[in-house]
Amino acid sequence: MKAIRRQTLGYLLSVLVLLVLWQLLSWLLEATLDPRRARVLPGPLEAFLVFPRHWREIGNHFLGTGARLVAALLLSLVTAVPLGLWVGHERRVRELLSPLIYTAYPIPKVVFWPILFVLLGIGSEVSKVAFAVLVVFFQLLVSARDAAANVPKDYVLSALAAGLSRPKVYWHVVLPAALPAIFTSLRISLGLGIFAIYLAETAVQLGRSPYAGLGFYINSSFKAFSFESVFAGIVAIGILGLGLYVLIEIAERWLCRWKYL
Amino acid sequence: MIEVEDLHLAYPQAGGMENPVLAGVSLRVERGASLAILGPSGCGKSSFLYVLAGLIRPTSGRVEIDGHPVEKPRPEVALILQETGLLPWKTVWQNATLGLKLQGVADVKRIKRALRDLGLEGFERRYPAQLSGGEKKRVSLARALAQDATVLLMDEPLAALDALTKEQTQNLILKLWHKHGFTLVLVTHDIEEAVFLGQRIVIFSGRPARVVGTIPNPEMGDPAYRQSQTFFDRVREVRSFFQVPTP
Repeated sequence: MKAIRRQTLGYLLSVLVLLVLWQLLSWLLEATLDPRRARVLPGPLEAFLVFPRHWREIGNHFLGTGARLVAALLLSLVTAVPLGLWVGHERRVRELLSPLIYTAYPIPKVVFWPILFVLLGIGSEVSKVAFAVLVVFFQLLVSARDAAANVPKDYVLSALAAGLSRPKVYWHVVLPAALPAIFTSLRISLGLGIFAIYLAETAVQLGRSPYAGLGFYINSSFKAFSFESVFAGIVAIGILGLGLYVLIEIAERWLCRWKYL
Repeated sequence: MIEVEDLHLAYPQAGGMENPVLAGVSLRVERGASLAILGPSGCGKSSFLYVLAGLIRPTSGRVEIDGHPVEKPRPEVALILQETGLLPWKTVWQNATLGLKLQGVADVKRIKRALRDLGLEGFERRYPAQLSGGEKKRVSLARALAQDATVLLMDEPLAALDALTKEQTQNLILKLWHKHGFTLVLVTHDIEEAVFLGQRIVIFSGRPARVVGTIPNPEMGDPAYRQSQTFFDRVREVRSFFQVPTP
């Protein structure tokens, strides 16, 4: 309980520090640049004042981005983790497939964006989520593979000796052993996923969906020179990221509670 | 009864080469007897135990337990490993019952009794990280008792314990062996431990390993044996096998 309170306090303090820095920087620009250029960085208060006026609009975009992000992360988890554990745990598969994974891993997935866009429909929801999955998938795959490859041999041997079947060894040994590394990777994936979804949402929009996403909202606010709205959008993305981060943390503390004794 | 005849084991290596580990090991352990296997590190004694546990298939030779060829892990054969045999993400209870199909109240009662006999009552919901080294060992033993094992294979089970806890746990193993009458095969590099727990001490040596000596040790069986002159003489006798002439 004490640890949780300390952590909450830590989060609140860091938010406060960020806001103060933001305000200071905004004042600095105001004092040194001409007013037209200083407008690009409004203070936190001006940005927050956008929320009461446009809460419904921002809220809908927030939901759109959040749903895409969660869908992409979940899809990546259920595909990359089993595959990574299998490749990592089975020696022959590991030797066969690891080179392929490590060749694909460093390729910047952004280069595939136009291809996905064309293949899956310009501006379609599927193409946006698929792009984020592509970005996050390899991150999770590599860490699941590495973690499974490093499970101490004794754990596996003692489970096999206790009569567990090979599929059960995955469930009782390989997955729990790899879980802390998977959670670390998921946190990194969260940042990557937000970046990918943002990028996808700034691309061409067909029609105007109220759920087009914060990427769309920020981008169109930029085009309208409405910098308060740009920063309101950034704050909303920050809240989304922090919220999911905290959820991941809670899930880890529950599923890996043996690590937090 | 464990019967091993002309056991050969080689691990495949990269480039189609083979790494021979065991070369023609033959031995038998009567039902309810105890055998200690001594040998230097990396001599293949752990691999021998894994063959008995059904975890690896030998290259050639015959391995039988109670008349059945060993082909895969079996519930009546329990294996206890050195340090990491317990799964850190499972509680004492989950570790003790790992791999068991609990059928009804009788099974649950049996496991509760095993935990109680080993002084682990009230520890069921703790995780291994919350236990001392000796307690962890007792959970491994409880698992063996819980599965009603007739054969207990131990791979340097006490190597990581401090001297006092080690002695206590050795006494405990001896007590359980008397009480439950399982067949005990202990792999160790600790000569005193081998003499304390083995009715017979078999010495593995060489690479690939073979049996280079067998020392009967019928006086064992009492915790007080540790203090006796016979014990010290036996330790000396075993040690002489490993004496390397100094140049």
